[in-house]
Amino acid sequence: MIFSRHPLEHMLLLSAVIFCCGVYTILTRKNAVSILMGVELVLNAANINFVAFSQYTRIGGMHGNVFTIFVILLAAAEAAVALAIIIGIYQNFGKVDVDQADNMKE
Amino acid sequence: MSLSAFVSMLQAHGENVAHAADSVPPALVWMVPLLPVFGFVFQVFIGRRLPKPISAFVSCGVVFASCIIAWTLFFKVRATGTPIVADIGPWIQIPGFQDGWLSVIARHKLVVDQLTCVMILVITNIGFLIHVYSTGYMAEEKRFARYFSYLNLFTGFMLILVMASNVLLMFVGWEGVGLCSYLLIGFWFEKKENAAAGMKAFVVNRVGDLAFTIGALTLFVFLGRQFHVWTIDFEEMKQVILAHKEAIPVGLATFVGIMLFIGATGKSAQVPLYVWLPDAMAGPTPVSALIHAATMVTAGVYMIARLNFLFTLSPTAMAVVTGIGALTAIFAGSIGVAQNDIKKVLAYSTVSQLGFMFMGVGVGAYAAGVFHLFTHAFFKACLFLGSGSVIHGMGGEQDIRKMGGLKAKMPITFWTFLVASLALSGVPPLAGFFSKDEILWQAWSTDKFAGTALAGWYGKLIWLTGATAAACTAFYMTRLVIKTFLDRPKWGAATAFSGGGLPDWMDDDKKKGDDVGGDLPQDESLLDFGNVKRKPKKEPEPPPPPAKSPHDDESHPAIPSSLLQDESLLDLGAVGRKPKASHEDHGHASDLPHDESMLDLGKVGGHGASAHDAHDAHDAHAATPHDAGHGHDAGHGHGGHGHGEPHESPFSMWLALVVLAAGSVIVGFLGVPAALGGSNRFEHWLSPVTEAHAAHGAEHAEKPAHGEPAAHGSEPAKEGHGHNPMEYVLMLVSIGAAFGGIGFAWYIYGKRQGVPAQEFAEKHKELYELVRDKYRVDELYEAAVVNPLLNLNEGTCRFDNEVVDGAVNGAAWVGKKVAGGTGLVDNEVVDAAVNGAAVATQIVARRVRRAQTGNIKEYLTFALVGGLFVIALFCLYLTREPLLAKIRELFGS
Amino acid sequence: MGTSELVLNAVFYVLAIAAVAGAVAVATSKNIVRSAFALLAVLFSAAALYAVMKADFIAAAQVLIYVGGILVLIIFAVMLTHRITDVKLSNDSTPGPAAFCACLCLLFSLVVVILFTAKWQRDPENVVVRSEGNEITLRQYQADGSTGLARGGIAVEDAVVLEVLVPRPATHLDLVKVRAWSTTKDKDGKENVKEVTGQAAYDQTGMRIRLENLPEGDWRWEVQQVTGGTSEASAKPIPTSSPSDKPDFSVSRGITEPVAKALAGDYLFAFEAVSVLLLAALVGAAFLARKEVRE
Repeated sequence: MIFSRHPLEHMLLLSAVIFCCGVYTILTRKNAVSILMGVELVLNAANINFVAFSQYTRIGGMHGNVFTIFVILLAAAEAAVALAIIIGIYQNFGKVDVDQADNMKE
Repeated sequence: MSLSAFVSMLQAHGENVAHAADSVPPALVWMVPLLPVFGFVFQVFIGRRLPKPISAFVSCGVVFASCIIAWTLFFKVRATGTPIVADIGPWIQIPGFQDGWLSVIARHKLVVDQLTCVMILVITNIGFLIHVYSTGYMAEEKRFARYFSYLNLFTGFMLILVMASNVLLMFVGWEGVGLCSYLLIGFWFEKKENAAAGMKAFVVNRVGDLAFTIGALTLFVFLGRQFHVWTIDFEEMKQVILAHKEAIPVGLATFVGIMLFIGATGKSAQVPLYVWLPDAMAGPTPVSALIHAATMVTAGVYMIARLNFLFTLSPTAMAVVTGIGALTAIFAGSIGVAQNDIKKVLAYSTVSQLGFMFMGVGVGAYAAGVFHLFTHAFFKACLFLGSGSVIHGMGGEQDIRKMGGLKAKMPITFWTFLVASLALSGVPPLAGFFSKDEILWQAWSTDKFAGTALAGWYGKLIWLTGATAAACTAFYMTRLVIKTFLDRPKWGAATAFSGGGLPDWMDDDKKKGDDVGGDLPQDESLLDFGNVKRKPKKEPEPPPPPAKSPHDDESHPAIPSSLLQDESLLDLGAVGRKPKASHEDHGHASDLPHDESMLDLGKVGGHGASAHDAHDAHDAHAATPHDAGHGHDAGHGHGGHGHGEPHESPFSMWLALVVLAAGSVIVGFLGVPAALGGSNRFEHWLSPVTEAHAAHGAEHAEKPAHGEPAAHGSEPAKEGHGHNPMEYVLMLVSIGAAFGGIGFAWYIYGKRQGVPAQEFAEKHKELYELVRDKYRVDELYEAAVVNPLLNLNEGTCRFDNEVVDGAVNGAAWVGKKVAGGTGLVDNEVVDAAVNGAAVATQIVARRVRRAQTGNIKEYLTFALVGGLFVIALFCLYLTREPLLAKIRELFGS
Repeated sequence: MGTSELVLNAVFYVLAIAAVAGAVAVATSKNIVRSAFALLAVLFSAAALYAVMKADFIAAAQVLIYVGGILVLIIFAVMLTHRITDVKLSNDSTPGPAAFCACLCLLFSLVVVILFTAKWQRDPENVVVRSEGNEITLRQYQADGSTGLARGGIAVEDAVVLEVLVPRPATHLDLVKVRAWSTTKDKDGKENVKEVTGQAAYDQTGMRIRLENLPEGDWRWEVQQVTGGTSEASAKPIPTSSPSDKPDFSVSRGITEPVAKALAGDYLFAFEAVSVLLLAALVGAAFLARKEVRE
């Protein structure tokens, strides 16, 4: 099982690993910015996935690549907004610990 | 005969009847009973508020109107010879009994045939006289209107009874007169004994009525089943029975006849249901005269005469009828010998004479029985009214042992009383002789029992019993007359009992209240048990100055003073006012001792002053209710008129006496038998009614002596009998018995002052007491019938209380327990379930709530976990076939 | 395995390890700045991987946007959300067993799916043409010879592999000739035809011809000749079954042009919408992060 024989599977595996790391980050971290970083990991994993499919299968079009472009764009937008919110939270609460943003706790 | 032929025969008969009735509107006929009923209604609603004169006028007026109409009907029937039918419509219609949708069982129909004519004439005429008599007698009565309402109602019912065309309508009248009798006997119900007497009359009557109903219904069902004629109309029943005489089993006829006769026994006071009649003397005297002498008690005789076609079928029933009649005659006659109350004597005499009537109808001499009824009405009513007069004159005294010497004081009363008692005794040529003798002759010579075990001797035995009873009658009537009028006076201030007093043991005065029959010591009233106080006989007082002062008797504050000074409605101020002792009227203002009548021609006997009533005939001591202690008309502390002397009654009273006494003399000649040269118009008159059985023993020559024998014109078959010499013999025996009784009584009581009687009584003390206590029949009934019934009642009442109520309570208890249990279940189980659900929810929620941490990371984690779970399921689904194949392969299935 | 192939594999593995290590560092580092820079490593690695996959444009975009924009922004946020006195800039994490297990399960399931269950369509299409009673199967591959090239697809390298399969026992070697040509229009409208031929011996498994150095454009190809064999194979050209106006494949160097064509073609609306979205995000972020004016 080497890469050049099965490039698609390798890429997919890699993307799966990164994806899981990103999910772990999201679930585990306290800092909101860290959570955002986890989100970026997830998105990147997805991007790798898209591109791998587009390049290594008989899709015949550029669809995967285009979608990746869009994902990158939207990740940027989302990161901007999220960070603005985080800064807002910081300004209001003094810290960005998500465990303590529990005003909605039952 | 076939059904249709029968129906057509009925129709033809009806047409005949209708023709005769053409000129008599049914409404007129119905007026006869309904006018008195109207009088009743009037008295009930309006009469109370009117002054007594007006209400009295209305009551007497309606009876007078009925009387006029009755006379009209009589002449009509006499002219046409056919009965008058007044049919105003069907009454009882039952579907399906005959062919046709509705068969009419009974109609609102009154039939006035010859028999009915006799009855209605008696009822209305004598009733009218007694109404007038009552206006005076009851003048001071508080419940004046009520009395007259009852009297009118009674008259109405009695008329319905005799005019009814079917059994049920007659039964309506039958029951109605029983009701009115109860109401009137217990008129002064403040005294418990009077109410008890009324109840006794009603209950004993009821016993008879039960048997009557059974008999009547049995006959109805039998006729319907056997001949398919469902009817209770007399005429129709008669036609059916006569047509099918041989098809009717004798046993049934006997049964029905005996049942009906038991009803008659109750109503007409025969053995064994006679016990109410003596007690009924607790009512006002006019009531006794009307109801218990002239009319109601004759209803039984009338019924048997009406249903003669049925009784003829059963010699056994007739034997029973005549046997009981004879037994009653002698039984009551023997009791009457030992009575000391004037009304009681007359009561037993009535019972005895009723026995005679039943004797007559029992041997088939229907006309003779009815004739005796007819004559008896006259002289018995006269006797009762006369006794009322005596009692009134004696200031309430009823004990004949305290009377005497009234002949001079009350002449009119005496002579009328004497005439009536002679008539009753059967002295020719007075009325009683003819009627009684006819009965005796028919009894002797009857052939009704030919072919039975009673042939030949039974009639003779009946005759013998009747003759003996007649002798007793003569005896005790003479005794009565002597002791009341002719004897040495035992009243007055001087002597209570002058002369030989009665021995102590005979002297009931010394005894405590006894039951009726004996004198009650110190008591004015027969029924005044224990009320032994005697109102002091007032000394004769000088008449007070004539005072127009109003009655200061507070017993009737209601009477306007102006009327108080007036004796009568028609007092035109010309009344010679005797100075009145302002009501020293013995305790009740009313009596008119002094002046009694509106037509007081100054002949008032005895009394000076006049306390009067505002009413005409005033029977002074008549029922005065004020003294509640006297249920008895005589017994109101009348003791002593205040004048201390007996006096003659007022005109309105002795008028009725005279009329009735005259009647007693005259009416006998309506029934003179052929043997004596008469035409027996009475029997002729009744022959259409009794024709089916007129064949027997008719020795009545068909001589149209009086002109118009209104009979059908069908001369009863003259069996060229000639006149049986036996008849003359028996006639002489009757006369002998009568005179013998009279003479014997005269000897004992007149000549020997009653000493032999006393000696006899002393010698046979038990016998005397037995007879005096009326053979203790009442006590026997009480022990044998009344007490067991009361015990049964007690038992069932207890049963009802304990068992039934116990069951009900038990059910309630069970219900309560069940409710408790259900409540428990509801509380414990249901609520537990409900609460449990809530509690379970709470418990679960408490755990589950912990998932809401507010921790986003946790939420995400679990979202991821959930998502993985779904993905896993999806993958499983995608790989299901290879997976299942693998599993099968693994497990080798 | 040739050298290039070896290099390719080595590159890939290095990059993969870098990416994974960076991801793990992001997940577990206690220092948030370190995790931010680990993210940087991941992003760069991703860009390099895009290049390995011959998605050059995306690699560039990745670097530009992700690394140059987003990562910088993240670092700004990191700096701005800590007090200046915090020396350690700690970044605690609360690892729980649930999360760890969940992630492991997720990874496991993904791995299972990737490796064992999904069938990725890498094989080329089979185009069957008939010629004189023979069925000839034509295939085309990308430059690596194993990834199928769809009919009308784009080859991002200038080499394609064509395969012809003739289903008859080969008693002797046959020679198959193929001809590929592309028709382009220059600015004068004149057609310009480039032709490339190739031939190879047909062995039992078929015939593969590698055409290299293909200029860009839309290409068609046909089997020119099949010689040899017991029966006379056709010498006539056997065209493929694609319609004449559609090329069998296109060649382009890199993906930039095809992506641009797609963005301006099929994805035009999405492109415009995303630009609007970016505007909104810009405004929103600016608003959200403003400093409140306090009196």
